[in-house]
Amino acid sequence: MSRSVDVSTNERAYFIEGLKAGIRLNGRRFDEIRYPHNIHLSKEEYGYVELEWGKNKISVRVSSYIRKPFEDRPFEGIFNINCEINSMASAKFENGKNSDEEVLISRIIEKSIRRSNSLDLESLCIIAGEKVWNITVDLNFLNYDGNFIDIGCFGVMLALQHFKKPDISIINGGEDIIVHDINEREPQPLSILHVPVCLTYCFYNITNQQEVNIKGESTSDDIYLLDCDYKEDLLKSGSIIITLNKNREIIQLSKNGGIPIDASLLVDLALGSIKVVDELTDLMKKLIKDHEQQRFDELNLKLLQVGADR
Amino acid sequence: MSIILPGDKFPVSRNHDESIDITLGPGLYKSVNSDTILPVQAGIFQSKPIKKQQQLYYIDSNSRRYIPQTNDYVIGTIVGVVGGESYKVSLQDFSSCVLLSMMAFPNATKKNRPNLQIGQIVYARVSNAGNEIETELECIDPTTGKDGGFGLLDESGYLFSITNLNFTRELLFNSESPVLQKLSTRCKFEIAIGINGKIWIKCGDGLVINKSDVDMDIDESSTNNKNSTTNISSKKDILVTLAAVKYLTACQHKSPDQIDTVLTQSFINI
Repeated sequence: MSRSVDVSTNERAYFIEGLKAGIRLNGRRFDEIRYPHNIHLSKEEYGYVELEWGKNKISVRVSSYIRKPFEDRPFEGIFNINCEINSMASAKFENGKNSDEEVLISRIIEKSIRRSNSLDLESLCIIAGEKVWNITVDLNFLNYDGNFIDIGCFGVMLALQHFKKPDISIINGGEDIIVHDINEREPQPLSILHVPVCLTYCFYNITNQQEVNIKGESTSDDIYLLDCDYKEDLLKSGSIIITLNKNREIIQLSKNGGIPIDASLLVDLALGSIKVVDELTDLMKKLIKDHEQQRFDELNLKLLQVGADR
Repeated sequence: MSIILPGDKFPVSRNHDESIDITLGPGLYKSVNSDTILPVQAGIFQSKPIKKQQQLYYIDSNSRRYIPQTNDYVIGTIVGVVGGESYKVSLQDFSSCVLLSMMAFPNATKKNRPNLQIGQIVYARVSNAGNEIETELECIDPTTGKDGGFGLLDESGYLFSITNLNFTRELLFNSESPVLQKLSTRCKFEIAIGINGKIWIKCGDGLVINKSDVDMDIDESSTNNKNSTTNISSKKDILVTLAAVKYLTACQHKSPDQIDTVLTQSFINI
């Protein structure tokens, strides 16, 4: 069985001529993403999210338990992201064997979220040097249609905002703790410092003159596409992954080979991304807020409020 | 019409009327040793008389994976050459490749071989699909020895995949299917349907690649004008082709009464 996809010259010709004429084969604009849809935030448990993004599909589960912190970091909780890609998503991914692409996907997601300190690790500390929360995110990819990084990052951030950990009381002067059942006391959301959003741009050199680029001459006729589907991904000649947040901060920027791009283009890309980042961040916020409201109404939590007329 | 599962008993008893010949279609397997017929696919059991005293049995199912059967009409992408004698052809992503002999073209001889490049696509017939040997294709009509519509599909058309193999069979064999008739009210098109889930389509003139780029320096102004006009007509044809692709892709999950709305939606900007 072959693991590679063979693109015919017909598809390639249509793709390139389409780009020259300003058309994407999937009908989107060059800087238009596929918005997430069918988003399911679990009502039964905190931190379970399923969503679709084009034909991509992922499920994310956040879980927590209490453990001893690392010796050198007694005040910090522990945060892990497990990224699981197997051949269920697409036959191009082999089971039990990490291809370069899979490693890249999980590393970029980890870099964008964990290493950018988007989760406040010190707030996960219960007793310094003794007990901290360990937060684990399990990211499962269920169907592949290009651009796993953007959708993975979105899914993880949505799940982290949806997650709540049980409330804790410290007794006996800091010697013991009580973990309150989620039905006993309202669980606490995680403290999220900022919401990173990954955006992947793919580059295409439609004139197919590689020599021009090596000489470092003008590459202004290069075309970039945002959020590529799998066919566009196969034909790309380079890509760049930018992670930004709503505070206009660049969190990471990764360009792994491919054709060289102009420095001024990079600035344009970052500026152009801001709109999409704002939209996606607001979407996450709205989803969480709606979900909270729905839960509030369904469980009739109004009765539990301090000012409620009981 | 009944639903049948792999391993079920073959629903027709053959002993009573031995004068009738039986032809087996897809989904049925005749065991070599015991001479019994076994269903190997889940689906709807169909029987049809084809000639006098000849009965066809097959199982109609809607799968996504294509398994080659003799006499299937397929579209394949050339992915390589094996031993200088045959082309390696891919019929579906992530499936094993099949062979297309260089001799299986009309008027082909040892000296006069077809010249196909990697990446080009061909319309072909499955000539041999056994379990024990590699599947072979041919681009020749065995009854006449002529091309019979098989061969290279040129680069002006677009190739796309349909996940429902049932839908491509419907398009190819049901001449009363409204899908293509409705499409013809919107645009002029040329189509090749492979029942391996690949469709090649060209609306209008399809994609016209400008060869005149080289002449640019000689007569810049006039070529520029010519370029811009050809580009506009080509752009429209690309857009129409893509709209038709969108329409056909959407139709595979729609019932016949929804086709009209899908058609208007797909052609909304044209």
